[in-house]
Amino acid sequence: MTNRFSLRLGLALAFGATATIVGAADAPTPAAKDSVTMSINRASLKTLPTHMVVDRLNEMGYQVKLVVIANTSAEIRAGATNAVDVTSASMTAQLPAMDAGLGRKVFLSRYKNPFVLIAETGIKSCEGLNGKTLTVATATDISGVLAREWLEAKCPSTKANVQSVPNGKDRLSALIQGAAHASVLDLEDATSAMHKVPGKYAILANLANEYPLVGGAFSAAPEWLNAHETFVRDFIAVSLDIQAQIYADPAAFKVKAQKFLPAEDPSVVSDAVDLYLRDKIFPQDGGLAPERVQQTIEFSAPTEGFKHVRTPADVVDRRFLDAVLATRGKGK
Amino acid sequence: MSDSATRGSARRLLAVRAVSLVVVLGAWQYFGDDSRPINFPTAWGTLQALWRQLADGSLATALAKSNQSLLLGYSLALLVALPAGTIAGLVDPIRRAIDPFLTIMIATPLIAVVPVVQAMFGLSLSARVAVVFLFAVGFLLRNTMVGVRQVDATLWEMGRSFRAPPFTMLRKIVFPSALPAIMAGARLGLGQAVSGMVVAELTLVGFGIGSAIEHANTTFRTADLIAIVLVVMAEGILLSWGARLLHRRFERWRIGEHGFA
Repeated sequence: MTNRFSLRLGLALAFGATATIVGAADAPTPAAKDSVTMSINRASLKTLPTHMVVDRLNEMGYQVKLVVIANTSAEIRAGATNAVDVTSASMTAQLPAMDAGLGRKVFLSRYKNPFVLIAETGIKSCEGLNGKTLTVATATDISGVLAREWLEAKCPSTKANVQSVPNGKDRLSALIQGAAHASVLDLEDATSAMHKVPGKYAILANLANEYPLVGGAFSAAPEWLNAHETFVRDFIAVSLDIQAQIYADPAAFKVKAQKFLPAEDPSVVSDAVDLYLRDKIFPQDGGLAPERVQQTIEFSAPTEGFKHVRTPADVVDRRFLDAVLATRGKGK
Repeated sequence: MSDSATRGSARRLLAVRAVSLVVVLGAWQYFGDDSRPINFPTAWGTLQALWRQLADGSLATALAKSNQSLLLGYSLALLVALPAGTIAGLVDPIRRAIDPFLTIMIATPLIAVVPVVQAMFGLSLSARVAVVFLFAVGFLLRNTMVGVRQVDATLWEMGRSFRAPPFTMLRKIVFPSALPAIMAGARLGLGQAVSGMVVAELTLVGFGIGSAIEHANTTFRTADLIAIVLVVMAEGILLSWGARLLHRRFERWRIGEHGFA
């Protein structure tokens, strides 16, 4: 019995060693398997591709640990103190931090601006918001700036009662409970509102398309990026593969999304995926085109402008993305 | 204890406090770093940020806006808790009925009920007032109830033997006797009310001090953020100090007019 067990163990070890050697020849895994801590927001459609990327990287032998940090500022501060290696907060939230001295660079975008302005169906135009309660996260974050810019561009004389409700889910419930007439929500929450009270709400402005800004973006300290070059390239390559896979097979992504968000109505998830893909929220080119980054900088800057953040080179390190795109025959 | 011994003790206490303040400020100044706004700032950097916000009036405006909900919510809590706590302290079945709810209310992290408040009151001033009320009322109610229940039985007996009417019993016996517990509850409730004010403005709807904190946080101006927090702390300390002064005044009235020791 003992001999038979030893024989099985020996065979298993030999098989494992062979598989490792053969696998190492094929996969892009480096010899040293990096251990990486990455922060991410709570589960949503926007975070699902990152979970898929991390699963695949871990299958490749990396040890990537995802840490959920629900508060964007807390996530950025975790990056500032190197409590996490890679953060994935929104670009518009990271830019003020970079201007205030956050020594990190963005190397890949997760998604572009996913916000829409949703309003009661009785409000047919920008002018219809006059005197109505419109909720945004804060006056200075992306949702607040999007609302302000849009109102100024479309109907400068309209005076909406803009209220700050920091959490997107709280904005959604305030809208449904009738505490607000309109809100800036991401496509997922907007779809949820339209499903929960059919016929009561409609998208008044597709801010995602009107302002194609960089949304969530991965960033890390420059010295960390240089020390983990192979990981960063693999991470970008797998991310682009996953994005392409999502667009190639939306049905499979819907199934994954419905499993990933079990508390959400499956039809809401399905419709939200359709909107995400229709509006190309997940970028297939890394999402860091210089003109888009520049637009995001200008959009996010306070009235007096940023002091240190002026051009894409101040906030983005495209070396790794460009290298990966070059291997695929794609330029900037 | 003689006067000179009391003065000596007070001087020692003052010296200990002054030394501890100098040590804390010195360590803060030493470990702080003003080279980038995102860093933990020095004490001097924070003081400058505080002065800047006080000078441009932004902090005073934010505080004035926030204090509307604090004033209304805390006043409402007093109006509800003092009569309700007195009745519950006097009528045993009522006390038994509400006591479990009070225990739950005091033990529960009340930030969890903020979404429920939003569902009931929307995003208006009344929603913020409701949060302040909920944060304060439990402590006020419990302490009033306990204070009333602890009235000395011989005082009750004396009042009854003099056939004192109920209102006189309340005024001459119950309130003077329960006052220390009620005032302790008022101070605890006030601290909670200040917390409720900030919680409502940070989580329910951005307003006043909550908005100022959120803005400093999202723009990563750490010195501004700490300066605002220091102002909120100062308000809490000042209010608690005011409540203590009021308590002393009531104590003098209690001892002088009613002979309670």
